[in-house]
Amino acid sequence: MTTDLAPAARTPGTDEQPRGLAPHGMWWVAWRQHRLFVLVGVGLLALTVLAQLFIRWRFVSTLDTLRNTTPACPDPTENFGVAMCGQDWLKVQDWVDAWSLARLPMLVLPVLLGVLGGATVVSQERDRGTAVFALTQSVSRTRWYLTKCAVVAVPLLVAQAAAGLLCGWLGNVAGIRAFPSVEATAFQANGLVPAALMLLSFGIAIPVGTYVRGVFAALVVALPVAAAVIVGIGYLGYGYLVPHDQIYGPPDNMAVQGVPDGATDFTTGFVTVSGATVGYFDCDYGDGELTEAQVRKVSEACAQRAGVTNKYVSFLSPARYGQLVATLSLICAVIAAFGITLGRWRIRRRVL
Amino acid sequence: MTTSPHAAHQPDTAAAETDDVLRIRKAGKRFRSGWALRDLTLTVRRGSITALLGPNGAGKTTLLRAVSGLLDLTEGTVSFNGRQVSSTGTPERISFLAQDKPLYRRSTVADMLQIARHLNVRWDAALARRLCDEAELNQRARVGALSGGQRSRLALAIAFARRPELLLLDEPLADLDPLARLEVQQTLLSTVAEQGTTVVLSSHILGEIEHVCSDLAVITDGRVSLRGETDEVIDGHTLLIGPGSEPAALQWIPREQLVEVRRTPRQTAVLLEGPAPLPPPGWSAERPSLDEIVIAQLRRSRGTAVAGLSDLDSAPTREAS
Repeated sequence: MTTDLAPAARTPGTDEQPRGLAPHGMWWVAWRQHRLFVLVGVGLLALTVLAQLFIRWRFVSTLDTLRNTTPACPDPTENFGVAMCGQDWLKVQDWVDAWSLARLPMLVLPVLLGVLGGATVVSQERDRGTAVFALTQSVSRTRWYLTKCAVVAVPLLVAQAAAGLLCGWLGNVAGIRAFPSVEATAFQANGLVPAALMLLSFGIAIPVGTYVRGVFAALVVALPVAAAVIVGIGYLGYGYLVPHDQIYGPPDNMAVQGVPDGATDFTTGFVTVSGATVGYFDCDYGDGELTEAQVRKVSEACAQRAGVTNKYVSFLSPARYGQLVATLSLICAVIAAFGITLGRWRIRRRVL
Repeated sequence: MTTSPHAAHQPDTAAAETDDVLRIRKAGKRFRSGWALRDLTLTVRRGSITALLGPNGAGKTTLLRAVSGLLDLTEGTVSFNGRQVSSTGTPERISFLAQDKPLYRRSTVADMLQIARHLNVRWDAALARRLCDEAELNQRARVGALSGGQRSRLALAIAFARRPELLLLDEPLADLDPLARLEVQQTLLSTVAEQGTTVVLSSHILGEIEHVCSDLAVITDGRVSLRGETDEVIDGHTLLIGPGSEPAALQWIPREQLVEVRRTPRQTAVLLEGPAPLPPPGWSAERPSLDEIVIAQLRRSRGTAVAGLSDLDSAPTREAS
């Protein structure tokens, strides 16, 4: 009915236990598990950069040809049009369009790779049941989780940062104002910003992957959430992360002088005697046609009556590029750290 | 009493002084659906092969997961070698093999062994290789392409290669065909005998482990309803076989010893705990099988009774058709 299996004595000489490789072996395991995704991600980023490199090369050679063959068109990057530059100017436009398309992955990949990497790093193993295997070996839950996060996130972030810096550099060399730039889409596609946005996506997707059961469900939840946060912070709200600069001028209808090239996110208004700002003031210019000098004079009179002393223009200056990138990156890092910590807490507590 | 990470690795001196490798005290685990374990106390002696028996949903898997550090108890403690186990990680000398044998299906056998080697501080590569060779596992075969029996033997090889003191097996023989079941049993028994590993295995099919275990614990509704060394459990019960009888004719049976009464028109079988009283003429005392004892205990814990036997309503009775 029962066995009489007595505990056998260990083989002589086996008191000294054979050594495995944990805990550092987790790096090897995590790399084997995620290397395909990481390499595909890095490959896509490399392709994006190569495409831009090729387009830039064709663009520059087209420009050079145009400069040499059409003296009336000294700088085809200016909007001279077909009238001055001939039909070849259209080729320049074609390359500009192609370049814009080639830059699109720099806007999409950070979100896509961040969400895919973050949402699947845990949920995939949970779905397959292999998390139970991994977590019953010598590696602690925290090490298992953090190592997998690092193996997925770090190479992709480094590759994304390199791709962003290269894209900015390529655009700059070509004579097109692209880097540093605070203008929408150029800002998000160049420099360290795409990497920051990727980190944000990853940090949002990680806890979703630990809370939502199933890879597909995790992706369905994480993708729109990450996209919404990135659009909110990275596209719509990024201009408010640093103070706007202001330049003042007389309260006439002329443009305020001194706004730097590449500035964006403009707000104009007027300053009253009391120091308050107002968006506009009433002024009756009459029905007759006025010269520029007359308009200015009427405006000044109206302004004086309304108590307005100055006109101002507020804008996001390209000089604040570094400050803007640093602030955005810090926010992304804090959110990502929170997300990763939330995931770690979940991993420690949940029944896998 | 809740197991917490901070309580982990606090030596339990009382347990350390005994030969109990595993000590579970008043363990309780509550999920959203209710209690899976409740006030469960169990000790496992070093070198034993203990079978956790019970119906599906009795709490066997929950208990094994708590012991392996996969989940925290709601109340009570689990201590292994005198140190408390918590869900921060599986203790170094415990191996756990889940029911579905979770392995990386896309990896080859060789890769799987490498992965396990990299995940463990202690790793007996020679033992893993030998067990794989004995199972005739092709090192280049993908895990997903292995049969159920081969996958079980690979999982066992990995579990043993960690050189555990305590091996936890959750339904190790479920879903295997009879031949694979036999092979896995042989691997398990020979390696346990060779390594001196303490084993706790769960099953809801007694026939699977009857010839394997030295100790058993029957778990029902999250509690231990019967516990002991297998031989002691069998010796501690008596099966009385007699002619078909009405309940009124069974008044001589001591109620405090009664586990189960099974009646057919021709025969009555009474299972008692402890030595049997002198039975009336026509009755004989027999040594019950483990199967009969466990099933009777499970029925008793469920309170299964047949209406109309008011004289014996304190014990579960079965009327066979």
